[in-house]
Amino acid sequence: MRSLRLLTLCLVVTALAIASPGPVTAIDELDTPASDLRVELDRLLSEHVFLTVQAMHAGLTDEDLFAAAAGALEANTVELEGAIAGIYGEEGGLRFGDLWRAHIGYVVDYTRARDAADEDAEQRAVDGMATYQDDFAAFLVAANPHLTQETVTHVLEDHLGQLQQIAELQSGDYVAVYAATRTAYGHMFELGDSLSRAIVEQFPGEFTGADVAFGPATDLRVALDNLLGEHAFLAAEVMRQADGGPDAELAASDALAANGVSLRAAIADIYGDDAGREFADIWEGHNGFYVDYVRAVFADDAVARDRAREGLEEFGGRVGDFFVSASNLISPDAVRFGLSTHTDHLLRQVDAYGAGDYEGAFSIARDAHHHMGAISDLLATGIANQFPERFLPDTAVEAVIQRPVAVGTCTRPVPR
Amino acid sequence: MPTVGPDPRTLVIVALLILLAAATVAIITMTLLSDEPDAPVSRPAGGGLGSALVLPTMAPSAAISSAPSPSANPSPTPAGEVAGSEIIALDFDMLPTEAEIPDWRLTGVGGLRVAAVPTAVDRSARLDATDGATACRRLDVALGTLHADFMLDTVPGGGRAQLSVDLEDGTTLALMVTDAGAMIGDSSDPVSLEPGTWYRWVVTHEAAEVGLQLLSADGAPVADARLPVDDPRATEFCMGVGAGIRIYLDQLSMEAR
Repeated sequence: MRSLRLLTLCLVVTALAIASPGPVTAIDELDTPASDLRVELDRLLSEHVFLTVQAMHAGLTDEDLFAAAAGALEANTVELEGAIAGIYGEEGGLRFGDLWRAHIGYVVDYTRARDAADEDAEQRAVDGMATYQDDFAAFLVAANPHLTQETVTHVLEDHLGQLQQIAELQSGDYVAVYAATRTAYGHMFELGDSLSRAIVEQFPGEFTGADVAFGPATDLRVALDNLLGEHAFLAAEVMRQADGGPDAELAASDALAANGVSLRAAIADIYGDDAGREFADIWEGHNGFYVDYVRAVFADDAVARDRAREGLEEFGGRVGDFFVSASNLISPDAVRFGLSTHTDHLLRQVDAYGAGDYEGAFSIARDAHHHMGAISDLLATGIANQFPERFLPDTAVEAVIQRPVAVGTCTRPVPR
Repeated sequence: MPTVGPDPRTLVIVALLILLAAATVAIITMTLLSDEPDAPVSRPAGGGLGSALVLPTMAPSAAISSAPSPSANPSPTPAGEVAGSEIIALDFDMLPTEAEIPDWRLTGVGGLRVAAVPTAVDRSARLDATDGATACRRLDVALGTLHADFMLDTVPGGGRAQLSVDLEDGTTLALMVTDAGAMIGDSSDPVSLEPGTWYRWVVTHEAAEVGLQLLSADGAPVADARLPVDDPRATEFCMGVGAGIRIYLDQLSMEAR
C-alpha cells in the first residue's frame, strides 16, 4: 500500500455518530489522503529536530539520558522509514533509513567533537555530513522527478547548517540554542511540505485531495500542529533543564513562552486581540502550573505537586470554556478531553523523568507530541468551518453533519 | 473575566491615590538627569500587543534570543523577605503559579497573584482589577536605590496605573501611566509606553536629591526627573490600577543608602 493513511491514525478526530442539537463540523472535508501525508511528514520531520537536539544535548551529559534520547530518535527514524517504504517500497525505505541514521550520527559526532575540542573528529563529522548531503539528495531526486537536485540540496544544507549551529552553541549559550532549535523545527515543516507536495504530484491517484491538502484550511491545521507540537516538546525541555542550571532552565522557559506568544497571535488572528489575550492568560497559567509540578516532583513536595496538578487539570476546562465562547463549531467536551489527555501526558512525563525512567519519559513525550496533532486537527476543522470564506474558499462544504466530535486518544502509528 | 460593580470605597481609594500622586507631582521640580542610564531592562518584548498577527511560528525576537534576563539566576527569595543588609529583592520566581502574594496590602476589587509571565520560570506579580485596586508593601529602608520592572497590558481610555514610593516625610514619588502615556514629573508631556513591553522604573537618592528615571527595554532613558529631599526613609511601595487594567511587576529591589 502506497498510502500513509495507516500512519495517521493519531490524527483522526473521532466522530461520534450520535445526534447533536449543537454545532457541527464538516470534519471529513479536511481529511484527505494528501492532507494526511502532508501533516504526517511535517510531524515526523519536526519531531526529528527536537529529538536530535535532545540527543545532542544528552550526548554531552548523562549516558542513560543519551541512550533514552537515542532510542526515541531511532523510533522516529523507524516511522519515517516506514512512511518512505509505504511510498517507495521496502528497498527505498531501507536506503532512506541508512542515510537518515548516518546524518544523525554525524551530527552527534560533531557535537561531541566540538565539546572535546577535537578538530580531527570535528572534520570527520563535517566530511561525513557533506557526503550524506550528496547521497541523500541523489536518493530523493532519483525517487521523485518532481524534486530537483538544487532544491533538495538547498533544503538539506539548511537543515545540516541549523543542526551544526545548535551543536556549536551547546556548550552554554542556551538562549541561542533554543532560538536556533525553533528555527530548525519550523524549517522542517517547509521540508515536509515540499516532499509531500512532490509525492502527491507523483502519485495523484493515491494521494487525492491535493486542493484541500495545500489549501488554507490545512495550512491552518499545519500551523497549529507546528505551534502545539512545539509546545509539547518545549515543555519537555523545561523539565529536562530544571536540574541543568538556572540559565538552561530559563532559556527553555523563554522558548516555551515565545511559543505561547505565537499561539496567542494565532488565536488573535482568528478571534481578535481580546480573545488572544484571554487565551494567553489561560495558556500562561498552564505553563506555570506545569513548572510548579516539575519543581514539586524534583523537590518531592507532595502538597505542591497536588496543587499544581489541580491547576493543570482546571486548565483543560478553562480552555474548553474559551472555545465555547469563541466558536459553536468546536466541541468544548472534545477540547476538554483532548487537553485532559495532554495534561496527563505532561504529568506522567515528569513523573517518569523524576523517577529516572528516561526511556519512559521520552516515550510519553513522543505520545504528547503526536497527541497535540489531534487537538490541532479538532481546532483547525472547527475554525475552518466557522470561517469558510477564509479557510475553505475552494472546498464545497456540504451542509453540516449532525454529530459532535471528540478527540480520540492518540496512539503512535505502528511502523511498517 | 467576571464583571463586578463599582465599589465606592475603591473609587475613593483610587481617587485619593491619584490626588496624592498629583499633589506630589506638583511639587517636583524637574531637571534633566545627566547620569548614565541604568542597566538595561533585559526583558523579552512580551506579547506584542497590537502587532501584526500571523499563524506560522514567529521566530523569537532578537531581544528574546539575545538579552540575558535580569532573573537569569532565579533565587528562592520569598516575597516579602528583607535581608539583613536592608536590601529588598523580590522576583516572585519561586512562588507557585496563581498564588496570592503574601505581605502585600490589597485594596479594591482585584488581586495580586503570581503570573507565569514573561516565562513559566521567570515569573512576575500581576495586579489586575475589575474596578480599581492597589497593592502595597511596607518598607522601612533609608532610600538609596529602587528598581522595579513593570509591564502594562492594555490601558483603556481614561485608565490609569501608578507605581509609587511613600517617604516618611509624606512625599510620594510616583510614576503614573494613562492611555496618553507615562509621567514622572509635572512639567513633562506624557511619554508613550508600549503595552506588552517591560520597562524599568528607577529611583535613586544621592546627596539631597532624588532622581526618577523610566528606562525602556534596551536601557535607554524614556523620561527622568529630579527633586530635592532630605535624607528620606521609604515607608511603602505601591502599585495601583484603575478598572480593567493589568500591570505586571518584577525585580522589585531596594537598596538602602
